[in-house]
Amino acid sequence: MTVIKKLYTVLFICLISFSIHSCIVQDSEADTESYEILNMLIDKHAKPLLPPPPPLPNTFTYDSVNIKENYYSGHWSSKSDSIIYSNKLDSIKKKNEILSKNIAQIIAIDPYFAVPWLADSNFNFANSPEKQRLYEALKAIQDSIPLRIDRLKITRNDSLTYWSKAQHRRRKGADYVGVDIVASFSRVAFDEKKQKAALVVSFNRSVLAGFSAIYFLEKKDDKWVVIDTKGLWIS
Amino acid sequence: MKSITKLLFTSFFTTLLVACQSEALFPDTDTSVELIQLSPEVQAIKDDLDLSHFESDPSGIDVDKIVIDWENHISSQKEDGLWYQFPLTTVLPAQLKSDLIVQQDYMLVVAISEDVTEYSLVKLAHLEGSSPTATYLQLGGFHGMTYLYDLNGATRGVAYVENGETHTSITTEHWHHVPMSNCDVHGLADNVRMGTMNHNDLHDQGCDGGGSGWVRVATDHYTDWYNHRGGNTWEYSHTEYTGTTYEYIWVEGGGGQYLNAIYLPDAYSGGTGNDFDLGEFYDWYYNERDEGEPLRIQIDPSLQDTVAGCVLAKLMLGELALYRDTIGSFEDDPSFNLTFTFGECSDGDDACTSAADLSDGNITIKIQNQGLHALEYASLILHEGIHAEIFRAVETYTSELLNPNDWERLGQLYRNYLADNGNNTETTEAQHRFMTERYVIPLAEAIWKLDNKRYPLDDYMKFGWDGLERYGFTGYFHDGVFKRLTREESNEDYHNQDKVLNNTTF
Ligand SMILES: [Zn+2]
Ligand SMILES: [Zn+2]
Ligand SMILES: [Zn+2]
Repeated sequence: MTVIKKLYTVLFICLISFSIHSCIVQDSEADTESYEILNMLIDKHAKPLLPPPPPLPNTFTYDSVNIKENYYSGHWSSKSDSIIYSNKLDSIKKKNEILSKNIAQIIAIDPYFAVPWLADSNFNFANSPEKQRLYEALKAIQDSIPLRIDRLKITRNDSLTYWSKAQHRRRKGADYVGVDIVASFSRVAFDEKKQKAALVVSFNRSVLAGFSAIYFLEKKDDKWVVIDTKGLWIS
Repeated sequence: MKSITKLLFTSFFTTLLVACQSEALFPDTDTSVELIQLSPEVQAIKDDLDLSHFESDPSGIDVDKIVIDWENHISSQKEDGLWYQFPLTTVLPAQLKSDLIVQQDYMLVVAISEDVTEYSLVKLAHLEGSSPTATYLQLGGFHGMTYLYDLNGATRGVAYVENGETHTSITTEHWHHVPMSNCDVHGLADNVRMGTMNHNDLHDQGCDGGGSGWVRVATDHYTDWYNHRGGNTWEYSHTEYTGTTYEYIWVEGGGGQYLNAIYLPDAYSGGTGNDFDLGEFYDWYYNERDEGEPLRIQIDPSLQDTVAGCVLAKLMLGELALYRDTIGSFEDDPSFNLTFTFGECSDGDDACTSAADLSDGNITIKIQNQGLHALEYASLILHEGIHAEIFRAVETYTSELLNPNDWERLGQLYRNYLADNGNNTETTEAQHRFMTERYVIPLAEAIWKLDNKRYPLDDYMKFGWDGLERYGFTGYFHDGVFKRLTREESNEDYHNQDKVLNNTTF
């Protein structure tokens, strides 16, 4: 083998390994971040359903105060009732937390990071150029990429499966069978440094009970945290 | 009046044929004496033919009235045996509501193979451009539908034929008998659709063209009554409506407008009954209704030619309290706009309510799933309507839907789930808990009423539980009592729903 040939071979191998390397690095970075975001969102939202709080006797009489305010401030019920109610709720919540740990759910995941469901939206995040940029980046995404559930790591004791209409609905008009929650995610839009991100998320407990929102996230202490959401719909 | 009983003959009357068929209205039954000796084969076929079990539903063929022309048969040797075809000479029913069908012919077809002789009454419905002389055994140039019925009157098969070639067909295995309803055009192997949104579904079946599909058309049947005035004098008395039958025809391409035109052809008369016309309704809705007044309930054109759009129109014209107090409330609130549209939610949903612009008063209900039954669309629309009304009510603190107890409980649930009336997990939890406690029965009742209370209310419970089942399984409070929906109850609800959907005429 001539020196020239050897040289070419070495060069060739270098080139190949370099391109493969850079390619993998780029892909895995993007993927890992996306999957980390999903892990966090699934842990946050895919919690089991538990019985609702019992109704309280009607003690509240309305004044003209905006009802939304009432819900938050608690003066929608007389003060003593409100305290009794809160205590009652606290004990229920504690019980529920224990219960919740023992419930193993089946979570169905849409098998694609989808094209964000934003085609007919026209939001304006006037007070946040950052969000506006991410939103526009999301809207610009034109294709979906496969989502691999074996790359998800959730903390709860649930199992994950791929969502399939054929498999999980007995017929049109029927509710889910064999799954407790159906989750869909769009592709994730990142900023240049991969410190900020946005995606569209939906979680459904049934064909007519779920929600969808744009999630804006930020990396803080190496963890993705939700900094804001823009609700899209409930079903 | 007695003289009317002296009628000699009743014929099926058709507006399509009345002009040119006067002799056919008076076949001389007294002189139907055989003049020509039939061949032994034909004689055998004739002797073995037993039409006494033939039911006229769904074909609309009244075998008491048909006359078989035994002398003018044709035959054809096929792979599976020797086929005979005999024309039926009596004018047969059919005032087709569809003006697409230009001619309808009937014949008896007999296939004789080694071990079996199979009789079929065949109906050929010619569409435009069809050769008028085509028959079942000579399909060249035929464009239209062929319908085969067995000797019990059951449908043996339906095919759409283009230029003499079978393009697509359905057989009895796939036959899913759903009676006619104004909105519900599918129900056949779950694949019949209306409108143009079904492109992909039809592609999946290997059919081309957006909006192609099987469409059920109505046929009204009439009998003319005559008074005998002596000798050869007959005086027309009246035309009696004897019922409506329905059949599937295949419609190529063209989209919803075309389907709609054949499906709901009658003039909209302001009612919601059998003469309800969707096109006319939307004409009225957009152009004539409350001229000058803004439409606070907007229906996007994407919905107009669809089953869902049809259901919405009927709800709008109807008198359901649950509709009036939810979707209807938007008519009276100038600070809100409610829009219905076809749209994308996510893959796991059938419909969704978007209140992303609630501060602007805009709420949009998107309907996503195609191919539901009309009554299922009704429950889905009402379900989303309740969401919309709760959104509106909590924003404005006004509602015809919510009584003081409801406000109290809704408030408790909103607070418990930290709901802020947004499009988020907290609000969806609070609203669905509330709906599970409060609206399962009202929703079931609403569908029960839409279906004219055909079956007991219990049989409609699945409609009430649509989307709320899981909350039912988890447990809910009803009138303050904790309850759970069991899997057995739910299965029974599904079972009952099948029955309702297969028999509804909504
Ligand atoms: Zn819902
Ligand atoms: Zn069936
Ligand atoms: Zn149907």
